[in-house]
Amino acid sequence: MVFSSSTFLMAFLPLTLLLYYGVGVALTKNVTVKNCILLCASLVFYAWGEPVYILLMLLSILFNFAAGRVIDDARDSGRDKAATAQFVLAVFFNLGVLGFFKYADFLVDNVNGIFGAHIPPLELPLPIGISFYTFQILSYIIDLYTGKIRVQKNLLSFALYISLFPQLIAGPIVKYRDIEEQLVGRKESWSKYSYGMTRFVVGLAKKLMLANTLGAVYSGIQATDVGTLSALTAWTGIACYTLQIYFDFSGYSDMAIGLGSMFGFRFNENFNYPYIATSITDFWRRWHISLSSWFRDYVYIPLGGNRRKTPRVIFNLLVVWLLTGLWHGAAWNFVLWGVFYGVLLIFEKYVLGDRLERIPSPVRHLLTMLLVMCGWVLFSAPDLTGALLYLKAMFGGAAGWTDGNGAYLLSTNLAVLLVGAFCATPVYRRILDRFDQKWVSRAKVVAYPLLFALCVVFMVSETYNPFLYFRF
Amino acid sequence: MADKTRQKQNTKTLRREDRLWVFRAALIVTLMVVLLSVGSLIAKDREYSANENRYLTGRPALSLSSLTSGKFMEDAEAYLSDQFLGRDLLVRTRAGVDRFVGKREVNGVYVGKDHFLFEKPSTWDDARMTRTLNTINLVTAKSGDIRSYMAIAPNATELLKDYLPTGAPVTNQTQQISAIYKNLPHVQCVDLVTPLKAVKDPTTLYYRTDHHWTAAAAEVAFREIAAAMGLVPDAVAYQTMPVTNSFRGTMASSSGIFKASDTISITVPEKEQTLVVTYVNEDKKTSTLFDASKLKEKSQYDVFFGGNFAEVRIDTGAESDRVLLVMKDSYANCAIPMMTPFFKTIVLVDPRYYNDNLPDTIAKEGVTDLLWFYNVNTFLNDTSIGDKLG
Repeated sequence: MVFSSSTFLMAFLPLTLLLYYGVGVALTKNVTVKNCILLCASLVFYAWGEPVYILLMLLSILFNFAAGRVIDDARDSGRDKAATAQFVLAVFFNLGVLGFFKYADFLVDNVNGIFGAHIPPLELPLPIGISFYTFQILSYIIDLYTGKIRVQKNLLSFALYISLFPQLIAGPIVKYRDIEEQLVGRKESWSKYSYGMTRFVVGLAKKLMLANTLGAVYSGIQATDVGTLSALTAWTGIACYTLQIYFDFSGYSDMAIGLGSMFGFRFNENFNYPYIATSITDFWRRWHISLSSWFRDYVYIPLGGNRRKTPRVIFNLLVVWLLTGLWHGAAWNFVLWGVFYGVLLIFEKYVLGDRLERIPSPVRHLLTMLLVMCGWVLFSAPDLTGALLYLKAMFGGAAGWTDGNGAYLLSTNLAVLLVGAFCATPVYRRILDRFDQKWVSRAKVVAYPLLFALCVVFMVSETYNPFLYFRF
Repeated sequence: MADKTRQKQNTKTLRREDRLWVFRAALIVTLMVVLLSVGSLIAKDREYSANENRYLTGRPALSLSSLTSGKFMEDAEAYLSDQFLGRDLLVRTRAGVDRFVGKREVNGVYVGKDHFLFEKPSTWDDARMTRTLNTINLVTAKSGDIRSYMAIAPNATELLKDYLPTGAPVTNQTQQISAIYKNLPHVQCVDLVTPLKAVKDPTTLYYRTDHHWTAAAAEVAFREIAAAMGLVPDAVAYQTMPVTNSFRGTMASSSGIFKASDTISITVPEKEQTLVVTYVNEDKKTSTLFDASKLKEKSQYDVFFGGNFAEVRIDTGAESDRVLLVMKDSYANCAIPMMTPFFKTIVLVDPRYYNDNLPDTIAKEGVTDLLWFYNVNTFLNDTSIGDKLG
């Protein structure tokens, strides 16, 4: 189920809230009941989109719950080797499942391509959210093995941690240690509820009003022959995509954080205005924070982080960014996208170093955005060749610099692009700060409901689907 | 010191007040959610949407197989969004919002000036066109001394350029038509673009809310075609009558913009003929080219012949030995009524629905003239000529 659907908004959310607050909070005041309701809701939520793969997730939950207990028992009774063996097994199991469903066909493709083999691809659909929940599970197993957390002995709490519906499908990737206490000790409050609901509305608006609108422009451009794109069209397209992916993803995180808050949870922030970054290093401190911090904690630091000699640190960085790229998708353009960032970060760290600071910050900002946008070309292209051709078009190599089509696309979408660019920066906060805060607060009572009403308009109108049998 | 304490106190009050307003906002949003879901639940389900011209999804049936296949979930989403409270109003609001922010394109429809809605023009696909044109040449070669003609009508985007959204990308249909004509050496091709461009008020040539041309445009085309065929249309007196002024066509439906409505007129010979119209596959006979019942339906353009059929034969009783076969799309429908005084029989074939053998039909009817009559957009997209006649 997706948050921006009628099913979620009109049926799932109100029912879950009613049960949670009615039965869980008001009637029984019992955390087990509350967790049971949330777990059931989460399983329904997952099964809605994946009626079969829910079994895979349940299996994963049971296996890892048991693995945690075994590691802990072995550790307690001083059998360190047994603990290590179980730990390695669990890591391999989880990566194996992820690898099988996400990367098997990529491997098959490449083996076939390189060796001329004819292994048939599996063509399995990717289980929704598997990249996210696998990383959550790994954070538990690794932290448990390294002694940072205590074992979870309650299956209900463990299952809830893995399947909690707000962040199940697209993050943020919540580390077990950040949420351990909240699984049983969280407190709901009206202020958390209202913060959550308004945050959810903001996320919904980002997704429905900005991301989808901008996305439609870009997919239109993507559908046209890349050889006919003028530079103007290509830049308009990638500008739309740049904003689309931010609003899509950060909107989802807003909704997740908001929904979490409505049920008394507090998740860490996942985005911090990435498009105001003044360097690539800065960008990755602001973009998908939960993923980069996961790779930092569970790959980069275990490899020795930056406390080793320079060549080793460079190697570590490249490994991390290769994996980051691969995590985003099983295709070479994602790998290249990851390595592209790895190389840029190494360049900033070892070549530019302090000199970066001497460049005026507007220039740094501009350069960062140019690189990020080129990165999105790699990321969004159907394949590597497509990406290179698109880049060529951006620099006038396909159909010149401007044409009527580009002018039309830019002029008819300019307003949305400008609104998007404005909302992607914290400028609006500075503007609001200039007003009397009393009135800013009061305006919220109109603004949020209005925004929600617009979301409904956008959501329903997207399903407008006239049947044109008399088309001919 | 006292200042600082007061300031702190102030911030605290402000923050508390802010929380109160946010709480109220969240409460209103919650109420809106409840209202929408309960409202949609209580409201009687609509069966049919006139705007969308389709039956809306009803309550989905729950079964084990529909659950495991995920069909139930899909149907539930379709049901909830189809039966959403105030759906038509929401769709209309969206069209308004889109135009407000400068969008000029909704669902593949250009929202032009003076209420004109345009179908985005089709593009030329080399493989498809080669196939279509080869097939037509083949049919021409096989039909011996039958005279072959072709008339391709341009679409509104070509003739109403001033009414398009500024800068909207369109194709050059004049060029596309000449490219088609160039590839048909043994077919007599009729230029419709030049006479249509010469019409003083081009807004009379196309509907604002539909992708078809009007009877006025069809008359201009008819006179050109007639001249090419050696007919004398001036020998016949014609009359034009409006049959409806509430027409909202495909472009209105596609875009969800229902601001304007069009008038459909028909142009017919003043002197009535006794016609026998046979719908060959439907085994139906009537005495008129028009189906007035369609005027009460959404697709009012179907007033001509009641829509598109595989094969329609019109026996006109006219004093002529010529038998005309028209291979056509729906653009031809409003021009055909002007042709009845000149042919003993007119056979209309729409290759999209036609599954018989064309040489058989030609032989059986004793065809003397063959006219390919299309509009550019349909012709460029058509695969049925290559699929079925080759």
